[in-house]
Amino acid sequence: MSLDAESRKVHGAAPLIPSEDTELLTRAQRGDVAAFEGLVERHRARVFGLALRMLNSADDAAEVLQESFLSAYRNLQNFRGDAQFGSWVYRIAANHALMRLRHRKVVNQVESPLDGPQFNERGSLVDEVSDFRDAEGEAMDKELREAIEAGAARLGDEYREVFVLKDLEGLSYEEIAELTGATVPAVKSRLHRARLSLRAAIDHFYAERS
Amino acid sequence: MIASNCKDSVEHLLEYLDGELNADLRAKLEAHLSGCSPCEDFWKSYSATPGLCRKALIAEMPREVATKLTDFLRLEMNKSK
Repeated sequence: MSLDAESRKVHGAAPLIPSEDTELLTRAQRGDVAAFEGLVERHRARVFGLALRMLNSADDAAEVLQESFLSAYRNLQNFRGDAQFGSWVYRIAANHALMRLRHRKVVNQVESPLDGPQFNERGSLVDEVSDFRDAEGEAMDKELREAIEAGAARLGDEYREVFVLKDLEGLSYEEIAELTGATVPAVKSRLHRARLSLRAAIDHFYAERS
Repeated sequence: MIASNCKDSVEHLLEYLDGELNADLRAKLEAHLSGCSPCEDFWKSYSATPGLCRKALIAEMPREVATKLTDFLRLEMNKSK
């Protein structure tokens, strides 16, 4: 599946108002199919984004998207409403994506070592560090975007899943630990390694450009 | 042990960014950062990384994926009626 410019349209990215979810959910739980489709439309873009970044495959992400909303539909009656519908369905999607990653790990997993800073024998930094703070406030450069996408794709699954859940989706360390089955210290360690590797990818981009 | 050299400092940047270092360790790390230009630059670039990645990795859903999702769910919902 290609993600060419023409097809890269955002769908279902309207501002989300939780109370609108509540009304749709109530109707959907009574069997109103159109109301459930309304919920899907409101949350599908973010669910797809989560799956795409975790799995690094548009085809797998599309399948996880379908599996996630089907699971949500089949379990609508069990949803008590003590959480937001969005949070609930994102957790379902994260679980489906993690299951795929675990399966992939069993089938074929060859991870390249993570990039990171280099130190001399006294533990001092030997790399020159590019200054890319200003890039935060600028429009995203296409080549920088590609460098970051490539850096994220190079992360091993266990690093990428933690990075996506924390830095892109904003879950807490405890929520990530619960989802992944890792301890909170392990989650933090993986996140730190992922950030170091991505920082290095951005650093290399600016070093080559200058 | 913290901030005796750059390597030790880099290892604690996540906790520092999260505000989870105690006052003593934070003061030691900040003392190292203020006296070590490479580490100060490294810290700035490290703390900028999550925000840059968020901007770069905004995923957009192709139209055909949305269409396939709708078709798939309608088929499955009809089966369960």
